[in-house]
Amino acid sequence: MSTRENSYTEAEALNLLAQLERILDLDPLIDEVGFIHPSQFATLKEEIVYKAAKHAFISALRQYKTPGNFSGKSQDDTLAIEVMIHSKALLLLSCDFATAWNSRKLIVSNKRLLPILMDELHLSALVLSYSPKSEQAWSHRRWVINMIARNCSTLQWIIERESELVEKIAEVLDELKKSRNWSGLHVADNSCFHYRRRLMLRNLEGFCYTQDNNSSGYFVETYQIWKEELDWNESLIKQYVGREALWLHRRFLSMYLIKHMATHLLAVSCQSKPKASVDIDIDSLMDHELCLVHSCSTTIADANFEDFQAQAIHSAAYMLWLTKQIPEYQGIDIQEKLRAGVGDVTRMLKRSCPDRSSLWDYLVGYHSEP
Amino acid sequence: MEYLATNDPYVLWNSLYERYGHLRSVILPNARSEWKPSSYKTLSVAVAIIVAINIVVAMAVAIIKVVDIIKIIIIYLVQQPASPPVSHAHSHSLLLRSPSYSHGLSTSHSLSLTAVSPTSPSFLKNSTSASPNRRWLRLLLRRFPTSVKLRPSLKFWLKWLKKGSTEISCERKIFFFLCVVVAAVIKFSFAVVKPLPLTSLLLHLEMGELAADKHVKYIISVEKKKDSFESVVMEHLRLNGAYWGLTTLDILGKLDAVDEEDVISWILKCQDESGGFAGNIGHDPHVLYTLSAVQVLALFDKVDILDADKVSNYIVGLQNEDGSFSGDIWGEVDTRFSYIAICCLSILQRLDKINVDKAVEYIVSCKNLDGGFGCTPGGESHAGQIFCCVGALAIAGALHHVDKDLLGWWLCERQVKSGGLNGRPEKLPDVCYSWWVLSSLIMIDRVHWINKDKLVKFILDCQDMENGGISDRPDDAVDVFHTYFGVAGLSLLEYPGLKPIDPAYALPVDVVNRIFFSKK
Repeated sequence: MSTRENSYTEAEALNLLAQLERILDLDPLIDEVGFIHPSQFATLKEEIVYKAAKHAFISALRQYKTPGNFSGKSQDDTLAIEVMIHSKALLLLSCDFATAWNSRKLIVSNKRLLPILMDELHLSALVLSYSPKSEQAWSHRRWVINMIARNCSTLQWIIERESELVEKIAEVLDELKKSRNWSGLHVADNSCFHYRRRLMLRNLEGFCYTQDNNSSGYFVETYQIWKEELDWNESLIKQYVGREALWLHRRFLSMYLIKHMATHLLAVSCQSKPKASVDIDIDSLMDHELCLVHSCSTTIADANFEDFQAQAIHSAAYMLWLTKQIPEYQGIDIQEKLRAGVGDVTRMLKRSCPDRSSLWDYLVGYHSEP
Repeated sequence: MEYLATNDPYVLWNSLYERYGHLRSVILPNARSEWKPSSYKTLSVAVAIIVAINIVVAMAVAIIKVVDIIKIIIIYLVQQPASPPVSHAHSHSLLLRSPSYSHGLSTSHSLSLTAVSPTSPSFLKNSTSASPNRRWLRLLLRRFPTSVKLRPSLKFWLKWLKKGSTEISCERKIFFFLCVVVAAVIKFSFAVVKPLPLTSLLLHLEMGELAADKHVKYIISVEKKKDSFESVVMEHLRLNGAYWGLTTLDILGKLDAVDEEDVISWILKCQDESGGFAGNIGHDPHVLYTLSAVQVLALFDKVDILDADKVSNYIVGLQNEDGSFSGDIWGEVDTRFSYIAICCLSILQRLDKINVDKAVEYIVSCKNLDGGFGCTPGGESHAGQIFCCVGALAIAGALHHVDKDLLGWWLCERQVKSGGLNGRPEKLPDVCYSWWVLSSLIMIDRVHWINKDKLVKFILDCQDMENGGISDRPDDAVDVFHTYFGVAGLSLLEYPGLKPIDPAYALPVDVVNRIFFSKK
């Protein structure tokens, strides 16, 4: 009885599989797939269709791989097409089936034609539309893009080194501007701030390469960009209370500004006359930071507002970060100011964030060492 | 061999410390947790006995006292002090007629009463006022089915109530002496018990317990269930699932619940001709599954059935020029694969086959400004990647490249208010990070910067107490992946009853010791 049942469902399964493949074939521009919430009967079908798809795929792949079948090119092609069809159906059911993706890579790497590669991008986009965290799909996409870059590079003409660099930098600034609006709307997304940090670092690298006469001019421009970023960050901090990603971004910005900009400033100001518009002063920077920290760390007695508490904790941690990162030779008054602030800060941190009290102790202890 | 070549003992010491230093944070807790259960048993049993005896004695004494007091109260309720004769006679007749008080009248009792009469209350004899009250009291005393023992205590209470003679003082003395002795014994027992985790026992009662048996049942059921849609869809990573499930069983001490031969024969079928292992039979090989295969074989102490050279050649072939590792022949590069390569080759004891310095150099190039590591150079810091990089550096003996304070700061900021850990800033907590963040903190020796008790509570809250298994967050669906990480995290936090686990190899410490320290 059960065997009869199985054989019945097998035929049904193959039928369903053929239907699915026909649908995919008929409309190659499908770019979104959704699954209706499965009822019990539907899941039963899904599982069986999956098994049928897998079976078809594996048999096709085995046929393709066995060396005896490389007799005629047409046969080779038909087998390849079969593998592609079956793997497509299988991947829509089980997006992380690595062997299926690998088989597609194998077939595509034998052909290396741009339209086929574009097809792969299309399929991976389709899979990602309903399963955006599918690691195999992203990995496949990366591989395809690498293939495109590798094989189509002869079509691109080689740009001169100077202009290439400029273009790169310009692209970076462009990208910074473009992503700023998006970042402003997604302040809890740490990845977007990480991306901005990478862009800014790329910018800095570009600056380091052009160390000539017009360096001061370029330096001012770079400094402006960093300062702008800091100010924008500050406005976001005040607007979106208690967002960790913003404070972490600020840590990076101020550390780099003070460490790298300041050292270069000393070198530059000795040579050329400093531009009047730019007021680069480490003391004032630190002052500003301390004021910001103070304004944020006034803990509101009403501890119901978690945001304000988080803001206070983050600003205090930021303060400790500054004390740890500032190198010693940066002026005695700054040290004084910092030391004054540290005591209150640590007390407040220990009260509101007692889990990390050993961290706060350690950091303060470190700071007090001469 | 290299140790023979170094002359400077300081250099030798440093390199040994680098290579094995992370074990220090693992072996010490291991020894401590071995000591704990035995001391737990002996002293807690003794304490339990003492406390029980005290309670029993106190209860017995209390019952006796209560019974006496009740009797006294009855006496005083029945008799009326200096009341008019009419009512008195009335009450007396009441007494004689009520059946409850006449049942005790029997010849044997009267005999016992007469036998004890010399010790009858003196105040009854000595009192000059032969009031009817006294007579009735005497009568009652005779009629009550009191035993010899109770009568002195009854006397005592009467005396206390009437503020009478000195005859009972010795009774009082004995009673109070008993009280003092009992109190002293209880105090002593608690003083001895205090340093032991009796308080943590209470804490455990408060925070809930690890439902170990349920988890074992859940894992075994998952292993058997091969036909549901969920398991069918996950079949390409079944070897990973085997590692998660079996390591959990081993930590819970129940590895014998599975058929060893079955598992091993299936694993060997997953091996590809290139030497690497696939996720399941008939799939393509990848380093992810190769590591899981080697780890599972290590659990069963059957690593030697592998052709170590074949497997290691597969991995060696995947190292790139810059020192990074690809996952398989298709070239995807990630620091996870660096960790896998170094860990796997270390277990197979073939670490010298790869260019370790280059591999370390690549990992260090993935270090970010916040002290963390990404998947590729410049990639965002992520707890999983950090675990892989720190673990790889630990095994390769290169932990000095890590800025421990900076990384420790970043890692301890992963703890959120609920006690759980997240993987990146602003993300939700997840049980799997309680392994990746925690083991990283242990390897860099900064685990005291987080609140361990809160984390234990978070993990225990993520359990499904009915069906077994652990989910990523409280009240979510369970899976084997999070069950493994939850139990492994608890083991790192020294939860009682769990085997200690090595933070770098992600295998139980005794398994790692067996690989490295047993003579073959």
